[in-house]
Amino acid sequence: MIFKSGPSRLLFTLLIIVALSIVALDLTFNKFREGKAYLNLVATPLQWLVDLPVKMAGGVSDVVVSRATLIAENDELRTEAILLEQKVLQNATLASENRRLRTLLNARQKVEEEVQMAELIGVSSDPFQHEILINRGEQDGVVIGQPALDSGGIMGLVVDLAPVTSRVMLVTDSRSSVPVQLLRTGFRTLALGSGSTTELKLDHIPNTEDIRIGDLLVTSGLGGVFPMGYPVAEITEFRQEPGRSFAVVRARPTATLDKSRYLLLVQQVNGLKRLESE
Amino acid sequence: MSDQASGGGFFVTLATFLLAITLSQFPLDSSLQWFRPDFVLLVLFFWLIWAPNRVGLVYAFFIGLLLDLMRGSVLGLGALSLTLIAFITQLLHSRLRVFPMLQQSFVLLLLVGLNQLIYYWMQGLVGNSADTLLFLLPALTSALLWPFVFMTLRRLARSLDLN
Repeated sequence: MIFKSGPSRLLFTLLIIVALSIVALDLTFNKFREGKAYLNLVATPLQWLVDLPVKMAGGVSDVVVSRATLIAENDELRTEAILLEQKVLQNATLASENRRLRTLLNARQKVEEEVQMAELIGVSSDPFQHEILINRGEQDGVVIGQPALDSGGIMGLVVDLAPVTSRVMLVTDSRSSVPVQLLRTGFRTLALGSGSTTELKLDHIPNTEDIRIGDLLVTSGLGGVFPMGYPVAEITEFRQEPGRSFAVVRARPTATLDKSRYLLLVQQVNGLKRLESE
Repeated sequence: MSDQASGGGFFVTLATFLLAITLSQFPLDSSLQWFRPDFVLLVLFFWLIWAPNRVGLVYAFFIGLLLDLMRGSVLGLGALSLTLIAFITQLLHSRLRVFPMLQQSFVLLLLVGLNQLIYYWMQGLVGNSADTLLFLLPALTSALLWPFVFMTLRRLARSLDLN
């Protein structure tokens, strides 16, 4: 037999100690996490491989799509473009008006943001961990803590980096919390991830607070991670329970967290630095 | 000649592990995700029984590390649990070899359950709390899948004359 005296207990103990020290290092040292970005490069080819069938399915459907569908889609996009153009026209006037009012009020200029497009290449396989993998990494200038959004609103923020990929924790992850503000009243609070993919919860809301179903929550800009004014979620439930000191408040994320394949990474340009360089 | 055979064996084994890791990360609908069998552990279990001189604790450790990188969990978690599972399998090795398939399935059920418990317990330390026991479902699906995995991999191993 191969094991004359059973498996090696010494080797086992050694490996367990090594594994535990790696866990401890990963949890405590920032330097280690920076090095881990390069280690993540090992996993990148495999992650591309996992995404390949999905990509190929998309490619096939691109090839076999019919002329009629294309024409219909084209029409739809054209009308949407006209609508959006009209909004942009208004936007320019509003922006200049806003700037003038802000100078009148002597307020600080709004921080400008630059965005970068990214494509989703993987989804976390662990049902308790709401994370997605995107095809932009350290080499594209992505940093940890950078917010990501889609056309609907805030999706999450970058939590892990590799040279050419990075991992985004979605707002519904149970570790996530986003500083938000009720658009209608200006009430500030935190939107916490509930662990369910379609729900956010708001804790410690007084029973007397003026919240209605359908109210929009936007980022408040406090905390310095998420830029101000992007939609996060819509209130779906506001229940006052007389026996409890706080109300039960639930919201649904406005970003399509489980469907968006393209997302935007927001780069906050520091207003002061920009002025100095100009 | 034997060197060549073991060299080929190395690549085939690695390929099965890579395939298992790919399958374990393949996007599934969120409701189906709970049922996803633990492919990596299935493959590891097979090679630990079939080729114990080639696949051992160190192998399990590195596969665990790779798995951690793939799923983005805390580095070392997978290495820790897979090393432990490999150790238990090695302890039971001489018995597992002669067990009928059904009994092997039962041992696998316990091992995958243990693996899931360790993983989610450690994730809980990091702050990801698991509020249902649904995460134990992979133990059941893995045990059900074991006969198929065993027969497929055995055919592969026999046809390539690996051991």
